[in-house]
Amino acid sequence: MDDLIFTAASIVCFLSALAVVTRKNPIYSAVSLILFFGGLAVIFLLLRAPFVAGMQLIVYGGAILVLFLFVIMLLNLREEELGKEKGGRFKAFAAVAAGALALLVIVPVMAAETARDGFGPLASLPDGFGSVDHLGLALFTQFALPFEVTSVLLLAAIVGSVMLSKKHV
Amino acid sequence: MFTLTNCLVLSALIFAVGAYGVIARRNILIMLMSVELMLNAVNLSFIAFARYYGSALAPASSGTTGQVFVLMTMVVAAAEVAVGLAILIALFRGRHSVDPGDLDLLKG
Repeated sequence: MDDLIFTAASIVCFLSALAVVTRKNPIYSAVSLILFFGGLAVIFLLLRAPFVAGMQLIVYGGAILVLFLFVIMLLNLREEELGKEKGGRFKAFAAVAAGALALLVIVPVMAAETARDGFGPLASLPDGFGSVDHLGLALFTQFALPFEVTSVLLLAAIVGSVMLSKKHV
Repeated sequence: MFTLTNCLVLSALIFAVGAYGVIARRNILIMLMSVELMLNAVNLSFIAFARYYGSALAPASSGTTGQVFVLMTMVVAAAEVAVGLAILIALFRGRHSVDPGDLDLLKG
């Protein structure tokens, strides 16, 4: 059952990721991005990360996507404002470069798979792995400092985006 | 098949798609979305490794270190998008273009 769901979710993820980078109109890209985030959340659930899956839907599917859609609406791009796309040869070069990047990971992973007969059996997980209380405990004890520093980053982002969007900077 | 290997391969493929988007597209909105794709691909690797090796390698946090890192990545991604889109709007006001090729304000 897990295999089936994983296969379906990864196909959805890959195809919608392709749609994001190939659509000319950014609104279609944004809609494909929703699909991508949804598929990835399903995979996170399968990987026993329910809290992260929820956050994925709320933060990415909710906040970030809405931000993108707002900006797309706000700019209301006309055809001539979309930006001149590069020619086919440049795109082919980019595809080859990106494919080489993927092979850099896939080849060693596959080599490890054949050499070690896979990555070994599943580790047995503690009860409630990936639940809110486990993650919350880790965030407020072991990772308390990074967690607090995050708030400074968010503050900087808030002030920065408000300043940048003012009429006269 | 639902294995760590396949999760990593999927992650690499999505990362490559995102990298292609950043290299090939000439629309800052779509380039930002491609950056999101790349960040999400890395998140997938983190979650997969946390699932398979987390509790063996990081017993102190009962194996959730990878998931905590993903939460941090989400914060950074949200901040990056907010600032990136604010910059885009500020630039669009003056230039009426989302083509990074038109953004040559610093050229002498």
